[in-house]
Amino acid sequence: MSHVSLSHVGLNSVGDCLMQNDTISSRIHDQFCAEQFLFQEAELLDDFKLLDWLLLLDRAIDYRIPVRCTRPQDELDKAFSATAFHMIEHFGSLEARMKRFGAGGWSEFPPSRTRRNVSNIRVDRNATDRLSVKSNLLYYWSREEENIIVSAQRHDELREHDGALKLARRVVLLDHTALPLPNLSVVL
Amino acid sequence: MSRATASLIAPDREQLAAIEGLVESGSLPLWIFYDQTLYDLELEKVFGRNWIFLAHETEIPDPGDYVARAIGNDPFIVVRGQDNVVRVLFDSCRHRGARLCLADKGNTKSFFCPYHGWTYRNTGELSGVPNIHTAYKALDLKQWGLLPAPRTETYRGLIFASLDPNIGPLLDYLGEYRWYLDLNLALSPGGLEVVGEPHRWQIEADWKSGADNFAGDSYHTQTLHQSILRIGLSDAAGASGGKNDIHVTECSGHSTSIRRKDPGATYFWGYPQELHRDFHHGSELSEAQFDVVRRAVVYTGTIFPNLSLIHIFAKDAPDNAGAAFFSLRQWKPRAPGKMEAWSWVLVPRSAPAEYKERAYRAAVASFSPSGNFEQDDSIAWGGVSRAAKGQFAKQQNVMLNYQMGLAGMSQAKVLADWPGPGTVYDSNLEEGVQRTFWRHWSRAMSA
Repeated sequence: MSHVSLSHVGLNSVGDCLMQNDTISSRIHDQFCAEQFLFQEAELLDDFKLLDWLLLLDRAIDYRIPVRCTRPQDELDKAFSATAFHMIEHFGSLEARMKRFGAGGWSEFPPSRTRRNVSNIRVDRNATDRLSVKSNLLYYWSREEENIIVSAQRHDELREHDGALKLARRVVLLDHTALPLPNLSVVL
Repeated sequence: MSRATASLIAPDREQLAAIEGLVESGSLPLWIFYDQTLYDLELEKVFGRNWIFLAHETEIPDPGDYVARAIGNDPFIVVRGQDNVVRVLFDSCRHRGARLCLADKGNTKSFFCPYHGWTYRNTGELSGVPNIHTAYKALDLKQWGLLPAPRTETYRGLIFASLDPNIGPLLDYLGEYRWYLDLNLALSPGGLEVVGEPHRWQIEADWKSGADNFAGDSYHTQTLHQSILRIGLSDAAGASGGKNDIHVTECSGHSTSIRRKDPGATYFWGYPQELHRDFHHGSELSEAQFDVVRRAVVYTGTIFPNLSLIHIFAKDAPDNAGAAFFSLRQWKPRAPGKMEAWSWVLVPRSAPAEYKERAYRAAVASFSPSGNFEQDDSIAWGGVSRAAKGQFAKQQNVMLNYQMGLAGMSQAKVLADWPGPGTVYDSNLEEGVQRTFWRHWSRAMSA
């Protein structure tokens, strides 16, 4: 496997490629675990099993969707707001949102038809119990005659608790300035 | 994709003027929520001839700060010049008309046209023209600065502009409604400040549905927002018809609904005790206004045509402390039956940073594209324009019921001893608030 680019598994350059087998296998393990987590999460949300989705969350979760603005070239680092959010959530607020749909919340009655396509998953282990995961999200949303696609990148932190991964942090970086949806009811 | 719908009824002036009469008797034609001809006319007669809100001064605090905004569908730059003056400049180069402001917001000393390089100072003056000494030897730079909106005025931090050079002063336009607007803007010493960038989202619903709802639809909360009450995020979603609730109609063309606590109670929209001291010492309100705001729980209102207000207390989780906040929201016309909603969250400038963050979270969780209240509104509003755009609404001249509060319908009666302006009802079980909006819309459209 020498002289093969392994940058997709976290090496920095083409030349930086001699990986020990145990490193590769641990990275494959992390990649597999992170992917399975995100795929399972997407399935629960698309199946509208929102209370089950809560079980995937770390109780200390910090969940944010910053507002994005088009900024000039020299201010691109400010494109994602540090102060404005479409969602800025903790466990209790996410729980309240999900429970509302079981209490007569009209925005998901009947539930929207959604499909979360999660791809380009990049995993780094940044602590013994933490994975830093980037993924691309193509979110198909449909209700009545409307069909809308939302595109975003997600930066997640997955934390291991008793052998299971939990979502501890998520920042959703939208590829939109104005949200193309009439509402943002279920999470991205 | 918007579907082209032929107008069965090409709206003429008489017909639009007649809508005022229909509204007075409690009827509103459904088709006006989706019609291409009507929409084009609205851009001219409603958005082209009134004061339109653009931005809050705290969004552009420093010289060079700018935000890209629109009056109707016309692009403008709201910019604080090096001279500290806020201007509203048409976003189009004077040479070939290209767009100058390529960002939603930023800070700049000048605007540069990517087409041929004409450059303007942030005060609007033309300052640079490539090859000026060989190609534009006689060019009078002073004559070719960016065109300002015909009128720009501010009120307590709110920047408005108008395309109509002959419109009266903003103070007169807000008129007596300032008495109520100030309950929100002048309670806290130092005023309010915007937190972050506004929310923007696209709704397949007519802009008038937002204006109509916030004009004072006190009747919908108990149904559309019942889930909020059930899970304990806000008491404000409760039933209408409380004995302390009032409706302010026909107040210089604007209206509001205010829910209040019992006489003698102290609530101040739900702001925490530590801010009450500021209110007592630094408020610019009259005694009568202060008395209203002391008991006030929820304020919704619409300033004609498309700026709405809400002052409310909400929580993001049932067992959290929650917070009061103020929000400006604007329903921007995009196409028939299609709007872009904008929302600004405002908090008292003098509040502690911790409170401001808590209030922002409460606002996002209640009134924003993801707001637990606001999510549901778009469901109802979308249905209105969906029904309006077909053949049936026009063929049958379908009328909507706007009768609540008219003779024999409810117990609502005009408060004789109310200290503030407008025609004020002692109950929110009446729809004079919304009839106020439609009366002025009909007048504007037939003018």
